[in-house]
Amino acid sequence: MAATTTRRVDIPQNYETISWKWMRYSGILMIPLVWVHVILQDVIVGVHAMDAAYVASRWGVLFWQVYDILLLGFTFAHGVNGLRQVLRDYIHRPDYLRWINIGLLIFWAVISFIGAFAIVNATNSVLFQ
Amino acid sequence: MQSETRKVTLSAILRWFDPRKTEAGNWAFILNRVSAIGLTIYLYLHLIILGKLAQGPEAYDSFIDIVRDPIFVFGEFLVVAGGFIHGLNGIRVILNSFGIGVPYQKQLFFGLMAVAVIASVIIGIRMFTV
Repeated sequence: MAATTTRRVDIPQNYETISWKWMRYSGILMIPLVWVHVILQDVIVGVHAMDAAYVASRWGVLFWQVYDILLLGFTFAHGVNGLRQVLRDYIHRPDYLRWINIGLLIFWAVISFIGAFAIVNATNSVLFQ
Repeated sequence: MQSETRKVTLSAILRWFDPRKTEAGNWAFILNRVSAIGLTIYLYLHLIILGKLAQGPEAYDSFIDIVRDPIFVFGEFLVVAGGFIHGLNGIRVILNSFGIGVPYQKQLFFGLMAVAVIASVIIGIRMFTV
């Protein structure tokens, strides 16, 4: 392999570089969060044993409420930001990209808020009647 | 922009699907992107379906009865396999992004994909037999 030299480069801290960095950070967090979730639901509990009573038993515990809110927030942010990156590969007009950014941010925030609100208020809901 | 002047021909489109000139890095990109789009669509559907919980336990449980069908379990297996492929390939992307193991990214890719296959087979057997 050819000799390599290193050179310090000042990377501007703009929206895109921060988003690039947070794709990596959220990725690191999602590896334990998602895999534990998948193994718990599909293997330990099993796809056939899951019902509303099981969901209620989990959302009655603060730890799992916090866990599921983190899972929802990071996973959906990673997914929607990924969707934004896919769109950026095919759409190049700056005004379109601006509206895509705003639209997807609102979409992510609304869905995440509804989900987090539902998890926080689960014990007051029809699930616990 | 160059892409606007380049003519889109049938052979150019067919070349896109020709696997002969596709290298490991291209496969990594394709696997990562296809699994990403699939997982994002699944995640959105998953969140929408969880909204059934707000309609009461009966609404949720009657939906769960439908997805006990082996076709849906197979779809769920694809989600799990996609999660392993995307997550393990993601480990390589993260390491390489922060300058770790860049000269070995090809070996890392094949090694991690082997882990993804083994993990998917083990989980798949568990999902279909338990």
